[in-house]
Amino acid sequence: MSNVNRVRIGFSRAMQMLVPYVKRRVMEQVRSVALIVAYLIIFQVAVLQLPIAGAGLTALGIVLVVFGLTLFMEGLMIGLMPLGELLGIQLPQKTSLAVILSFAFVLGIGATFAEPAIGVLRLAGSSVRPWEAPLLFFLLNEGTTILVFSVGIGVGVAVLFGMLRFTYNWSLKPFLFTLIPVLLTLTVIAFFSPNMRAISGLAWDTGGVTTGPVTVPLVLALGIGISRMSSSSDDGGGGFGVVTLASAFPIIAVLSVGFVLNTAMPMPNSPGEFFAGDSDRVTRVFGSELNLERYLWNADNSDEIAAAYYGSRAAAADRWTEIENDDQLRSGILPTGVDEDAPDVNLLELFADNSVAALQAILPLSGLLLLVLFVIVRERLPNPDEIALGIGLAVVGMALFSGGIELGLSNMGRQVGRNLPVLYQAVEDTDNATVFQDFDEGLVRDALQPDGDTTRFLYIDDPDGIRPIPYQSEAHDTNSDTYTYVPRIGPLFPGDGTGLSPGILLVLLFAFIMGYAATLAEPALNALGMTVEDLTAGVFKKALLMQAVAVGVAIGITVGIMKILWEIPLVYILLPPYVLLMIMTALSSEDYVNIAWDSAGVTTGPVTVPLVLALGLGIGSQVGIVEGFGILSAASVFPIMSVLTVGLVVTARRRRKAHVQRAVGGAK
Amino acid sequence: MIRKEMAQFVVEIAKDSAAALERCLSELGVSEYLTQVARSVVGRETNGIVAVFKPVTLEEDPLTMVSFLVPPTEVEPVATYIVDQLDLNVPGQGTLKVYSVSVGINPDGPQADWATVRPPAGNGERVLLLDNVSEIVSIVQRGEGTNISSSALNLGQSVPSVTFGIGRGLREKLNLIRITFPRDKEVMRITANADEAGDVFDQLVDAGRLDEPGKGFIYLSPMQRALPNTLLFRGSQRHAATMEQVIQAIDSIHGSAAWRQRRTDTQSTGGSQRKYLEDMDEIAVHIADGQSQRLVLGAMSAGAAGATISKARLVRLSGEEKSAAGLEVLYIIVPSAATDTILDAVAQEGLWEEKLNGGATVRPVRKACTYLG
Repeated sequence: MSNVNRVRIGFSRAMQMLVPYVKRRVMEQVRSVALIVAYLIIFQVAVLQLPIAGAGLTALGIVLVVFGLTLFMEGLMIGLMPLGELLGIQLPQKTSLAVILSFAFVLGIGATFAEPAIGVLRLAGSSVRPWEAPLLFFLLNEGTTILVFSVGIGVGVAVLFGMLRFTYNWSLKPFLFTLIPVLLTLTVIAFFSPNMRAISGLAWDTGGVTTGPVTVPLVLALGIGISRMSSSSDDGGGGFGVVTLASAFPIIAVLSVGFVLNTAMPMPNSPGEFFAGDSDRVTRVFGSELNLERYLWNADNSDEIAAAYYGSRAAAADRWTEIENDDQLRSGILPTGVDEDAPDVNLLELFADNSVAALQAILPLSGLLLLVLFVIVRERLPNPDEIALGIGLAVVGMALFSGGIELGLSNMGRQVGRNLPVLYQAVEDTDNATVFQDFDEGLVRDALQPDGDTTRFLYIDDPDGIRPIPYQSEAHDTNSDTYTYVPRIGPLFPGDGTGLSPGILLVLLFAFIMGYAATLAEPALNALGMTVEDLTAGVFKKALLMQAVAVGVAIGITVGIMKILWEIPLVYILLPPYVLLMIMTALSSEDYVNIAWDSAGVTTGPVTVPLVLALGLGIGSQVGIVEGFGILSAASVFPIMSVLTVGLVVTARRRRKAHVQRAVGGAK
Repeated sequence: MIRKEMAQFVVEIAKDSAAALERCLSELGVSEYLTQVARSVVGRETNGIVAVFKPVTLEEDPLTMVSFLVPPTEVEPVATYIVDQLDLNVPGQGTLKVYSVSVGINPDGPQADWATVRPPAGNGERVLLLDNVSEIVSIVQRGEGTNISSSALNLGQSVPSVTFGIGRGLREKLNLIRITFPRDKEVMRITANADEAGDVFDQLVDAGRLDEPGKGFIYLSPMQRALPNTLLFRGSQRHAATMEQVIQAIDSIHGSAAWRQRRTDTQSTGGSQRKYLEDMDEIAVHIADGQSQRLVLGAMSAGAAGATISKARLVRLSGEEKSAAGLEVLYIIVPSAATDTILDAVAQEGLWEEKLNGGATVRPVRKACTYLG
């Protein structure tokens, strides 16, 4: 190495090279996020006709997303992926299969702990009430450790099988034909148990969110390396499949754990009946007596459920006095007065949190890879400075873009999501509530209805002028003599009440375009697209894959929103597509099966998930459903279908061409 | 390094037919071969309203590129057998190329045995291969090959095949700023009649502006024999017989394909001011995946400007047994005078180390062009 003359490059020369390079890379990311940003702004301002709250911070967030994604993608390409591929190439040459498999298992578990998407799942289940779905409530709160562990073991087993597959060059199809029917059977069985039915959405969504933007490229690169060393002469399909398995095994793991835990859990019930039931079982849902009481006294309906739990209203009142008078109990059970939704965003804290998360996601994994490379494989890094720079860029990039997403994209997503129901139904505009002091009931008047009844109303005078509003007794706070007026807005597009009003259609259209636009900005999908293009020598273009996947996600999210709007059970959403997928998979060539199934795992990444959840929860809270699960799993099924469809069309066209050529050639 | 004259066969065939090719090679007794993932670029004549705006679109299909060595005496029967088995004489089926190469021999290792290649006896029809042909290879930035591909199609020589590669050279001499250096390359190969090759070469230099800085590299190398894929355009059939059918019919009337070669003595007109590199060699070195870095640096310290590296697989067949391993192939273009020094430098860096599946072939490059400052 020493006898190759190094060329020295001065600072100004380096800048001349760096500036256009950075500009090109930034523009790539600007293009990839432009659509989703423009779309959200246009929708909010033009269709919903609402201003963007906190526009300055949102704009800052979007700028950060662009720069963060640029750095992160660069870090993936020069650091993490070359490291993964290098290790993949070296492992089979230098170690035994047992070592590779143990490493794979540890890597899978490590990846889950490094990128625990548990926050996402918690958010999706934030409105779950313990009596409606005890098992789900348990898994999302006290049982998260169990949940993460079972997912981790699922991913570990998946990576292990993936490496076995690369080593022996097994087809992905047998895996799919075994795993998917098992999954569907478990889901159908779960459908008949109320507790299990509630967690099947969680289980399926875990499958999608476990494979994050760091794990996917890393595992993909590792797989490519290992399969290059396999004994097959076929080149091009290698490296894929782990992502698919890492989506399927965790579902099985979560459902199995669910079946076991379910035996010790109470059944869903009305709040009263639930808390009056077997107290051991009820306590188990909360993990401890203290947690239970904390929930009890802080719930909206604490009077009712406390009475049920302690046996009578009197017993509940006694316990209340007891808690009030005991300092220890009081501080443990009653709220400590911390305002949870502080209105000011603390930028510093936000970035500190996201930096920690980024370090946690990237360093342990790359550390594990480097450790195995140095200690077990005993190989030097060919370009240590490049790899170190790449890992550094990935960390900084990830911190910036996840911070930016929190600040910008998901903020906008939340606003649009909350306001979207305005399109098809009247919604209370809590942002514009007015409180009237010194309210006097004497101001309330009667209005005559055609049948002789009367409605009560009053006149108000606020900046919008003097006008009558209907009187609602619950808006009148007799203690402070105030009256809170919450204006109602919408529906902007009223229908005839048959379900498919123009407003609802507009919501579905919104979901479709949002799914499409957000997918194009996903970093893991970008990485997958580049890998596919590279391995096929440019035949399968990244752009084609991304378009196909984006359309698939768009369909999936639309279906997911339908599930929430009309409360369709998850089984109905997943069973038919997966059965169809089995048929399509049987007909498709191995290459396309690999690519299509892996695209499903990468679609639900850091850009799509917050937006989708905001949308789902916004609509869900208006409909009053238990949980927002299921959209993500729907968003995973349909991309498989769209990519397989592309594959079948391309293959059919190629066959026809070959046929015509032979006919024209008039050979033997 | 001791070298031995051999014939190198390269077959480019649709990925779907790769299994048939493998069967064919095993019947021929080929004990090892290299495969690369490639794509073919073919024009399609559009119809309807699209044709008004874009009369021709490019179609890209997966291609498998397979190369192996054959004793010079067996070229004719082996070629006949392969063309016959795979219907390569039907336009659009694939390409067969034969080069005269010299193969580097490992002085200490076991002697490779290529004498096992023997076509099954009694295969009949004589195949019409072109002689007097050249190959033009252009190496450009990834994504910029489309221009060159479409002009190659318009020049009407053969269907281009494209592989991916990574450029190494100046990049290795820089500090971390090297990451801004685009290293992803496309390598495009076409077959041309030797008499027209000079013109085609110049046209491609113009199309890719390859004599400008940072645009790429192009070189022309003689071939021993070739059966190029001539189905350059697909589309609605306008005549009772396609041009390919007519050509095939004339071939069989003449009993050879020699009539296709137009003997013109006109000198190249375009780019007469252009400076070419002459008397060069293409050294193709292959070694186990992940091991190429030191070979590149070794070659560079012996005077090479750099290398283009493509991924390949080495497949070994012995009877029913089949094994394979990932390889990297380094293409290094150097003045003929430096070839031996560079081969020795590469051997010094561990080309022949055990289990690394190293190998090297050299073939002449008649002229090359790039930005010469």
